[in-house]
Amino acid sequence: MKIRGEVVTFLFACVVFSLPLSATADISPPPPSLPSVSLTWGNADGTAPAQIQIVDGGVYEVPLGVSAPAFFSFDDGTDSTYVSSSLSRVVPPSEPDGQETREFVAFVAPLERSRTSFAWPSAGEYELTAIQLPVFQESRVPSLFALLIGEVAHADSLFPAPPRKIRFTIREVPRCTQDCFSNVLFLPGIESSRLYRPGDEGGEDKLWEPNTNADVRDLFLTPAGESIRNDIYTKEGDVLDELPIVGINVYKSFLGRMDALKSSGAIVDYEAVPYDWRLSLDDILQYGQAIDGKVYYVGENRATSTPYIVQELRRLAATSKSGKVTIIAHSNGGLVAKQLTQLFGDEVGGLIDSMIFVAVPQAGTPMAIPAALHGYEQDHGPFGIVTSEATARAFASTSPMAYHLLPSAQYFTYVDDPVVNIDDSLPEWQAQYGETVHSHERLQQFVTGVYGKTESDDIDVPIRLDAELMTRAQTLHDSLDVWTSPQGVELIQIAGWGVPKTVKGVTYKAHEGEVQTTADFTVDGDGTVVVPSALWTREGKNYWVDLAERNRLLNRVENLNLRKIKHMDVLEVEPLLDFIDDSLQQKQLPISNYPFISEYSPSSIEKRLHYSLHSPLTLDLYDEHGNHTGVATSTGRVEENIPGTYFVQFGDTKYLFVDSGVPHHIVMSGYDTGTFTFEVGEVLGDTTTHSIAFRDVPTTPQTKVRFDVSSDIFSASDLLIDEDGDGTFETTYASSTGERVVPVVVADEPVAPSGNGMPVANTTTPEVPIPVTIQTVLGAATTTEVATTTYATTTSAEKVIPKQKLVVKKQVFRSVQKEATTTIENATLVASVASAEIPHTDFLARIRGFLKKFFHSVF
Amino acid sequence: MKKKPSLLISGVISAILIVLSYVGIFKLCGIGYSQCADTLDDWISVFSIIIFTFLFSLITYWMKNEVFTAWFRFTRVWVPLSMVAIFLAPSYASDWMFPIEKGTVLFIANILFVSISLIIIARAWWRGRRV
Repeated sequence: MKIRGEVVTFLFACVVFSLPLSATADISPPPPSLPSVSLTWGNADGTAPAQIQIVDGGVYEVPLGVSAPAFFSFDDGTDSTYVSSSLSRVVPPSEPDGQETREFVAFVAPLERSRTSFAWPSAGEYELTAIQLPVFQESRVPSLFALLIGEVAHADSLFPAPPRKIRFTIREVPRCTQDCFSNVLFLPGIESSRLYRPGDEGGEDKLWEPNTNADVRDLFLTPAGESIRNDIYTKEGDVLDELPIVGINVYKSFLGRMDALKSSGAIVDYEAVPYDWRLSLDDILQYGQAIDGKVYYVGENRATSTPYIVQELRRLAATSKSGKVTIIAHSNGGLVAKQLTQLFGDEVGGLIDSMIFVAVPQAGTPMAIPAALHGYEQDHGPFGIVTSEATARAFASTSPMAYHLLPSAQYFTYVDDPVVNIDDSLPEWQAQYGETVHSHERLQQFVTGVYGKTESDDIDVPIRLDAELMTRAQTLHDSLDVWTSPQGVELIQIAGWGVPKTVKGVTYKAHEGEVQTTADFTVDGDGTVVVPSALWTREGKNYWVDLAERNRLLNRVENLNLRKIKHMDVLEVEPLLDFIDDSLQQKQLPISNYPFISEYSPSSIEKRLHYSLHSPLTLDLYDEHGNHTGVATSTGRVEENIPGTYFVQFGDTKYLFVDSGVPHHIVMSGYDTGTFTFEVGEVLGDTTTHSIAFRDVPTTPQTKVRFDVSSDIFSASDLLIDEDGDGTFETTYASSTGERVVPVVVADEPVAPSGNGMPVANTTTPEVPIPVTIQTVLGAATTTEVATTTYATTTSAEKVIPKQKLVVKKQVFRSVQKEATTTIENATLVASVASAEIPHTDFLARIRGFLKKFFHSVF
Repeated sequence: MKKKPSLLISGVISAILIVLSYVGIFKLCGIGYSQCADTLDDWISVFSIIIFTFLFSLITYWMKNEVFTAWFRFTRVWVPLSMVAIFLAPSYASDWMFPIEKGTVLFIANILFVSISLIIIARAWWRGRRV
């Protein structure tokens, strides 16, 4: 019964809908004057490429390789039976009497159906063929009926109209030839896009920046990292330019520069792209629909086939003079940018020409640990009235963004300093989590562990983080941390340096029966992001912003801004903006033109090592990761792959410059017979403070020489010489005198060649314990400057692998050296650490703490 | 306090602060970052309000004693209070929304000091003129 009912309905519909057509249809061949087809291509909203209408025989100039929406239509606008069209490029015959062929380009739909987009692949002749559905003529009903009952329709009862064609010529819009600077897409950092929700009584309620704890609670996410409220949105262009009330600039100067570049015509356009920074990178890049200026990343409005950031990138590329976009990313924006390039795959080289990362925590940063566990420095307003630390950490504990920023597994392969220290006064904690945390497994165990954690608002005790979100963040970092800039995309990395309040770890200890948490600081960062993470990607060109110098009172007065710059407002440093401006306009000025900006670590201003070699030998420098500075044997060109190192050659004399404190080894290979003189100097400013010279040492084309330095000139090894290239160092020159002292055979066994073909000295370096420098600083009676260098030695191999050095600056009253041995995986870490008693005598801090707690309890 | 000692003391301190700012830090602490330079910079911040004190001492030096006295009554309270406030403020603000740090306290203290001083001096000078 049911089937019969459907058949009847169908037949009825066929009859009803066919009647008018039947009445007007023409059985005879198509009429003599058919409406002509036209193709419309381009953006209807006026953005480039502007919309053009293409008709038969026309010649049009368009940008090649730029995708834009298209549709076809008829000049009378009546015929909707043409359902599709095929666009082809007409390929001229290769021979004079040959036939032209067609290369398919795209299917194009009519206006009233779904739009399609395509890009013109090249200049030349094109043909559009509109295809019609078979048209039912007068015999339609019987034919359909015949079809329905299983008979084949009569061929003469279905009349597809003939395809309609137009042919036209496409030329490329003349390319930009001068000042072809790229448009800019700016991706701000975390907490730097304003977030809103609809107001309870109409209007809207701004949730970020927050006015109360309730605003932050509205931003809370589920344990799975999904927004609880589904009506939160951001607005186009609404990034934190300046803070209300206090009027402090965040991106205001930077955006002002972009405006100036745009209004001067240097660039066509730029866009500061806000995003819902609470979410995972996948959500940020998969969603984002702009509706009436509001951009939704959550809720039912978020779904779109053209996510906001992707759409903006394509729009900017289409209008750019160069056809490409420069991405400038600050902080978390860099992680978004990295993920964005992975989304585009091979297409990225055609859309992006360069990326400028400013203070991007590429492999995470230790600051995220106390921030997530304790709400450290996440409170707002006097005594946390606007946002309390407890609210802030509860918010962070379910937000994927907080997990992205924790140090990744790869971070620990590069930076050896522990991110969590547990004092001997907490033996139970040590039993659960170990004495130190300097591997990702340990970190995951610590932050997701139950022991010692709280669910209360006691911010001195850590809360427990979510294991699933930790795993997801690490999966993300597994791909982002090995990310390299795509082919054809230049990468500039800029790190802020010199803020002594940059957290490098946290220490837990028992104090009066309670757990006490203190932050360990380093100057090697911008107050939030440590330098190694900001300069993570190896191929990038690295720059440092010396915030210590910028924050000197005199410089602050000169800049009419007495606040000290740190991570959040690093884009307010004027010389940095000059540098970015000039980079965008492809001006290559000496770096000395930009105060506070340098191509090497500012810390090295105090001490640098300077090598010179007068000889028929090559001179090469390697760090512990195998990075090389010197002349590349494959290309014959100078490469400087180790940050803070330079290679120069004048005639037959080669020079190397290295930051003091960077562990490295020098390798020299003879290429002629003669003698060489090798000089090492330690330079302070322009003054050489110490030097070593090895003079008139005989060499042959077989000679190999090795010289190791673990930090400064006093840590230099003797000069080891393998005279005949057999892998054994037969001769040693003492670094203390520069003289050949004892012809020794260092190795008992043959020396295994290293990766670069050089013998590795079997100098079984003792388990290092490397000197801790404790320097009492003039003018600061109660302050001691502590520098620690930690080295890891593997037990199986004899090669010493010194690790990244972080200079630690702590305020201490007294310091005690001790040696701590910790077994980590297969390696034994022998760390000579300075344990510093941080004074708790700061009664002002106590008063502040008391007032804070008091106000918390009141509000 | 009388005009001359006020002028002399504030002048000497200002000179020391300026010399320290321009060359002293490098001479004492060396080039590049050091805790020494940071600490010295903070101390200069604490005392920097003295420079404005010197300027106003200079302005009031040629005015009537009443003007100087009126201004100095305010100054002898404001300057130590400001110095204590700057001293207590942290070097770096932990709260980016409401950044209270040495720099911002210094800025506000100096702006208020200059504004209030100008008002007091103008008022006292105007009164003296009427008399």
